Amino acid sequence: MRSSRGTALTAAALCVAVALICFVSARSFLAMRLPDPVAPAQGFERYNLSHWFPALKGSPGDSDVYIQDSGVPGGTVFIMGGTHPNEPSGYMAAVVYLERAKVTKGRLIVMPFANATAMGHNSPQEASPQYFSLDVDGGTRWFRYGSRATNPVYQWPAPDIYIHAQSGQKLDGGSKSNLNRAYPGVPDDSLTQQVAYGIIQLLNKEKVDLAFDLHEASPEYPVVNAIVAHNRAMELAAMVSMELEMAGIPMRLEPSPVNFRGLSHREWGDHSDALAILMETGNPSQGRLRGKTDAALAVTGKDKAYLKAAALGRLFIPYEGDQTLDLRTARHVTSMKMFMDMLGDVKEGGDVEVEGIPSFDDMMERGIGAFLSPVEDDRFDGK
Amino acid sequence: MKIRFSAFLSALAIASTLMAGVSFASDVALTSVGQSPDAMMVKVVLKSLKIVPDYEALMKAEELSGQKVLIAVVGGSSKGLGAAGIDKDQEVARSKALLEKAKADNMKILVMHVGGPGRRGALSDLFISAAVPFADALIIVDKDNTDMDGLFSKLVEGKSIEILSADNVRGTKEPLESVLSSWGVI
Repeated sequence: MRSSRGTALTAAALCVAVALICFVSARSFLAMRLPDPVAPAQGFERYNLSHWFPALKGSPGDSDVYIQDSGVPGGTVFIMGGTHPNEPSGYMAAVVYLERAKVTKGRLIVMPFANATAMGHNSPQEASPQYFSLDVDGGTRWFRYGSRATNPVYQWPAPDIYIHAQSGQKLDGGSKSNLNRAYPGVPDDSLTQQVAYGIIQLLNKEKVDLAFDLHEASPEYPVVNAIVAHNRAMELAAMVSMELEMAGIPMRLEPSPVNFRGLSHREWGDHSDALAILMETGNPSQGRLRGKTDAALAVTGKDKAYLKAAALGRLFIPYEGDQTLDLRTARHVTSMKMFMDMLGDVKEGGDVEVEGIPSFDDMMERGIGAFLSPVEDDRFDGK
Repeated sequence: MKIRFSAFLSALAIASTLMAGVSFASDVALTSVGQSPDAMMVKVVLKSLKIVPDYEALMKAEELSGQKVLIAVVGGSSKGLGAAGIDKDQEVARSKALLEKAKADNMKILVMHVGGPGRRGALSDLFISAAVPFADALIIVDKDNTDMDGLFSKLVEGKSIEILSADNVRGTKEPLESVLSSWGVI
């Protein structure tokens, strides 16, 4: 029988192999910090969040913000994706508006990747994909699939208990890195709290009338395919919810709880004049029942475990085998358009008119990639 | 001149009182039973009928003040109960007290369920069971699927109440108009 004992040579070879794997893995992991290129539509001007909160200048939380002003007096609408970068329909809906919108009345502000550092890493032990891709005219677009939390490289360690500064509400320590528990923010605290503070400054200084925070949730979570509205936004949200139901795109309406603090739908409405709306679509790739978690799951939502759960009546969305990113994004995009169309009915002088946004049926038929522009992307060198 | 001035003030006071009556009192009181936002959707439908109801999600019995109709929109929401700072038992108690007062005041009571099958389940059923027995009329969205287990039908059994159905919330305008017309509110 041959001996399997190693030699100095095999040890050296193993060390080289380990070093190589570490090098490739680290390179791949660090590449996630490179931003996803976007192609803003004509008329958008780029800013950074530090424009409204200068302390963020040069920090990794200084997210891009785009403004398109029609020049015609009207209201101002704010669209924010990427609060939780493992909820891709949120930022894809913001990107569709960024790349397609032609504002003919009022102003549109788009912040596609709100928690910039959360886009740059994955959540540990979730086996999430790093990227997903979409076919667009003349090529492929790549987008990162990030984490729910701010990158711990920039905010570590998490406290044992996170105490919300304004209310004293106590949550698990990890929630301190969750942008949607941080509002209205603290100017001299951790990065997440500073980003939240910057967003509140933006809402106030730009006199935003209507503000969206776009999310996704597990199909087994009750608040899914849903609109959560601040009490001041409830009448408008009720009107939109009814219209969506008529259009065959039901979005359940829920009130923003007054006693659950730090969330956008509560604190934006309490700390600015904006009508605050948070929306959720159903994403199997972040649910607890999912099987293999890869880019295909993020894009198609196909999962046999969810099909079984649906048959057992355990889900809060209709699930017939898939829940595509096209469908989830189209829900957000169409809902926001209806909100904008009706804004002037509840807020005098608040009309915002936006052209160029694809219809729900167009997005379902052709896919959202058909409405995105091709871009140069050094990260993938054309692959 | 003094007399003329007093007469002017009196006329102004009478006009203000009348205007106050027109502006602030409605024939229709609207509340939620279960604290879902569905009552807000009914408020929007009423607006399309040019009715501005006295709307209060947490309306108390003592707040009924001469309205002719109470519309109770049933549907449970744990977020809504949390927002109101009450639990389900407190909500049932408030709702029952309100509905009993409305009955005692000879008001007509319209119960509506507009959330479809998604607003069924243990929490919503608790509120449905509390409110529907008080109904003089009942409107349900997507009746076939919402009343799949016959809960609504059982609760109105033996009473001469027709369950009116609508395809969706906006579709409740027609039965709502019909019920309110028959009660002399429109």
